[in-house]
Amino acid sequence: MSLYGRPIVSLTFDPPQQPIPAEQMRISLPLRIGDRLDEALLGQTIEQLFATGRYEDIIASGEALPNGVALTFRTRAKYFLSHISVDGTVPPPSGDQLVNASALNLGDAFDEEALATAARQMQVMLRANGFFASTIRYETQNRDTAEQTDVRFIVEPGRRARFATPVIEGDTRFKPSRIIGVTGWPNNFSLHSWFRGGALHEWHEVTDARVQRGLEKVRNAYVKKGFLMASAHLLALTHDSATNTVTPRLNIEAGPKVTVRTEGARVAQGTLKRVLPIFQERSIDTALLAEGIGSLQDYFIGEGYFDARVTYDTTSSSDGASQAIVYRVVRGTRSRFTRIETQGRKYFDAHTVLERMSLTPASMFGNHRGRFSPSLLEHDVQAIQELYRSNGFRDAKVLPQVVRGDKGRPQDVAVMLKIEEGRQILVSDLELSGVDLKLVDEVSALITSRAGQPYSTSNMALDRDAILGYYFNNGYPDAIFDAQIKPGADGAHVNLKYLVDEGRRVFARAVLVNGLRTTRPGLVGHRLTIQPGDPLSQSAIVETQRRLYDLGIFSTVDLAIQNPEGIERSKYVVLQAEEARRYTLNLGFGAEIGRIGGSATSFDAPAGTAGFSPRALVGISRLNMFGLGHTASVTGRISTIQQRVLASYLAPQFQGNDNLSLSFSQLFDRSSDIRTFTSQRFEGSAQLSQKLSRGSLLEYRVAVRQVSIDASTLKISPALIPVYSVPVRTAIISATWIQDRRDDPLESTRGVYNTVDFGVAPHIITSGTYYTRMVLKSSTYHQVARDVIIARTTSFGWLHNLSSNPVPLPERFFAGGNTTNRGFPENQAGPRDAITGFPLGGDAFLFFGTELRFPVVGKTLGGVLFHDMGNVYDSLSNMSFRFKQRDRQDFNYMVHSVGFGLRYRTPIGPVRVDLGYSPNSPRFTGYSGTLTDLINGATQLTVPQRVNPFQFFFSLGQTF
Amino acid sequence: MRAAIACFVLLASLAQGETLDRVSARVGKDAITDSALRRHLRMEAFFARATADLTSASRRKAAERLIDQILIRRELELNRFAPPAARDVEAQIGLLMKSRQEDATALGASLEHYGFSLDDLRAEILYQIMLLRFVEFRFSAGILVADSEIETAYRQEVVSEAQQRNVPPPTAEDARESIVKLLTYRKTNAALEQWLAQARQQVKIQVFEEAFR
Repeated sequence: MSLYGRPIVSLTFDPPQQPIPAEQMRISLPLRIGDRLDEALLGQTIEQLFATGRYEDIIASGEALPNGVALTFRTRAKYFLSHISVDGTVPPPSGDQLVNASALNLGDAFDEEALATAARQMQVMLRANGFFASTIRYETQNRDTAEQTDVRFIVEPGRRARFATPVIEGDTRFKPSRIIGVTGWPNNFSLHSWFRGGALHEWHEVTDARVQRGLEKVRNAYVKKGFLMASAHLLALTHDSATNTVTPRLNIEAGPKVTVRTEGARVAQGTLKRVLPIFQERSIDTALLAEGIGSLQDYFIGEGYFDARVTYDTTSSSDGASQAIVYRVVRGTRSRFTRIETQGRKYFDAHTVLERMSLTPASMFGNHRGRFSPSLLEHDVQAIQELYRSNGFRDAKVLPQVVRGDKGRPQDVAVMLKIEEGRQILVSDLELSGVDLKLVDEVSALITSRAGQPYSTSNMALDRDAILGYYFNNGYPDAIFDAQIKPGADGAHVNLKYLVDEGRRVFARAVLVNGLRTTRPGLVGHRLTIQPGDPLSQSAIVETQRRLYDLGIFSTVDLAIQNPEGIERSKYVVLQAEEARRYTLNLGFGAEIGRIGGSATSFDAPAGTAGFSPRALVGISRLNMFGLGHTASVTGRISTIQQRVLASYLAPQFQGNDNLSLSFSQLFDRSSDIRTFTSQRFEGSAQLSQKLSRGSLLEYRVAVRQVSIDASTLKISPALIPVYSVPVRTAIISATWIQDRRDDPLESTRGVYNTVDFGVAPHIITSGTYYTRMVLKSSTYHQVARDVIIARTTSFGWLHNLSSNPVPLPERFFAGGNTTNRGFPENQAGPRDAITGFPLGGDAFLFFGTELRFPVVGKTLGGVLFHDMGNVYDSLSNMSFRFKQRDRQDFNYMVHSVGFGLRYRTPIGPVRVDLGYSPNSPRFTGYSGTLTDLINGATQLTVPQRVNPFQFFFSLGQTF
Repeated sequence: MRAAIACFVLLASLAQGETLDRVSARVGKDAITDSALRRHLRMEAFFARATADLTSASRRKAAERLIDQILIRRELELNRFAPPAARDVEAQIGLLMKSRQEDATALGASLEHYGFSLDDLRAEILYQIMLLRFVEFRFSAGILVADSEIETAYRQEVVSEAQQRNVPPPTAEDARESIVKLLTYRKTNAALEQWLAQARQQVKIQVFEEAFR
């Protein structure tokens, strides 16, 4: 008897634990207890469950009961990939590359067939990298929760094959041995092979990158010899299993030898190679030759030949072995583009219009002839028209006029732009339809095309992108946007209607974190921006990824949605993290060049001589201490003037707060970078950094240090030696506020950089010192023309001694040199010992620096004109702007220096060379005797000296 | 994996109760249930005025047809193919009644015999109209029949058949229109088959053979 039509008295699932939450099942299933069993509804129920994507199979069975039917759904859940790993590979290829080659994606449904295909695809990549005998097997392991499956591929790569002598076909024009040599595949000097008893010459191992590089080198070699159309293709890589070698089979067609020259104007071959597309594309056809005309014309226009015309001819030899291309140039008169003027402009100011233009009038810094061409003018006209149209001036026109012989000068060219703005179309009304009432306010805030605002299609496109972006980031993956425009009766207004179809909303069910071995789950949990129940947002997923990468302890962080295609109300987000190697080793070498030289044991050269100090750095770091994302490191630096060991422990994002980080450090430092003494310092400190806003940081610091000076190195009056050579223990509590609003910390063109540092060294735990210390610094950057920057800085420091004991010598301010005043060698500003002339530091300093930064050659080499002024003073009350030094004991005046420098841009910042001249560098009294002479009071050995007015500096990074 | 499936099927069969319905095939995340197969076969039987053949073999063949149907429905949705107007559907129902010589009451009784309502019939006819229009738009419109093909078909089919029946064949000119229709129909079918074959490659299709045992 049919069970259909009977009332359902029970509805159960087998197994009871289902992939879909019970509550969601209860709400969404068409059948309920009490309903009459209906065939169509039962089928619909199965279809709906299956459409969630979480089931492999569903069987509905019924059992007749006296009062109805007991309905049971037997299900088999689908599993999804939660972790994909590859073990056993020998790079290249790396494990990550093999995972990519597998085409398996995190969160996708587990499919046995797909694994087999993945293994085959990995094999292809392995063979391409020389592993012809590799085997791959895989293991799967189901997890207890959320239907997750881990897949692990185990690779046994075998031995990597080596190249064998390539087989070369085609019209090569060169000997095979020469071509083979270019590829880089032979290893002509293999000590490894020789030590094993083989020949000195052998072949490199095969890798995909090496094969491609070899082909590229062959192509480049041909191009260098003038065979612009040469082709080199890899036909096959044939493996010999007996010898485990691979024979590449290449087809090379040299093509004709091509010479390219110009007539009518001389252009260097290097310039032709840079400018002409036939060299860049390594091909010759009519289209590229024609494009070359435009490129050469642009080149000459850049040189000031605004009317340059170029044509070309090609001739080939009768045997096709060579081809000559001649570009004929008629340069015309050399001109100078002097100015741009606009007329008819009302809505926008001149600056707004001109900043959209690529035409550039001539200037002293930069292009001396200006930048002008008809194509640039056309481009600029379009840009200005677009500016007007995107602001509602639908019919705006820009009519350019080129004026030759501007202001009576025959070689000057100017451009007049007549702007016809036309009528501005405004939005009179905007209707928003289809948006949930709860979201209306947020969605409305995104719209730019409001009533009273200019109407334009570009603004509508922005609105569409903003609205759809909002929906996609708030869990509406299927949202659709449409717009209707109705012109107003007066022709100057439009009514807009935005129609939104929100579609279904999807939420995050949970975040499944995999791959953690050492890291504590709580550390990751604190950084998740997507929580269960939140709308599924792509931006939240990306933000989570960013926050985890910021920890610096993961090499990869992948996030994916489990079962992306399934129709479910809530979905799991799968997070697979790969922890980075925990230990890193840093090695560095460098050098300091400047007036840092001079004997450490005599009184010669108190102001330093030209010196060179090499330095080496070694550091070891351990990441992810205790699984908390903390870092411990030990760094050692050795140079001729400084030896330092620093141990530090950093806890970033302290207590789960992105804006807090805590660090502890222990330092041992022995340095003689101040010529007066060699000091030794032991210091322990703790610092808490608090990010206040995007460009603002506060640091709170407690430091305890013991500083001692090697008395034998102290080059001051003997009477002062007992005072300054006593070891001093100092504790300083300080705070620093840093405001950094520069556009680029390495190469700033605008913005500000301010710091305020204030510290107190109380006598609670120190041996007799009690002082406060304040340092202020302010730098600003202003762009005055394209690539021309004026940068200025002011720094002020004040040490206020609150004790009767002198402030320890190493705690005083020592300044001067390449970051404060380039009229001084390093740390040579300020008061000096009355007898020996060595710097003593001071209790206050004031420095001003101004630089004009400009390009010299392109964007790589820049120049600087600078003026520095300032000094270190023995007290705040003695601070002075006086230019002249009163006598050889007076150092409380303002020392000036002017000079120039060069900056060579590198990826890690500019390398800089500065040459400074100080017209009023300090004169002082030095000592030509020995320490014994000094102790015996031989004052006749004093000699007048002067800090060398010429100083030079070589360093990395901008001055400020 | 196969062990898991076998285990699942065995447990399901050993459990108390009769199997009412189950997934018989899938196209991506769209399930084809056993009830959908039976329904399809009953609808075919209704149009053919025959008894529904619900044997395993018949249901297995129906599964392949429904797989094709799902692929086509997906394409219709993707291209936002407009459904026919209600009057077109009613017109077809009218033609159906005329061909079956049934009035509305008799049609209703006939439908009820096969387990359907009038709305079910409307839905089926709506789909069939959309299918025809889709095939016409997507495949027929671009089909060209060459003169040589017409000539070959005339000789090999029309003349040959007439000879077999011992009747004089129609002239090539008279037969041209019907030959063109026939060849267009065949080419359209071939194009549709080719498209379906390609569409099947792009989505995971699985038939649960145990559902037909």
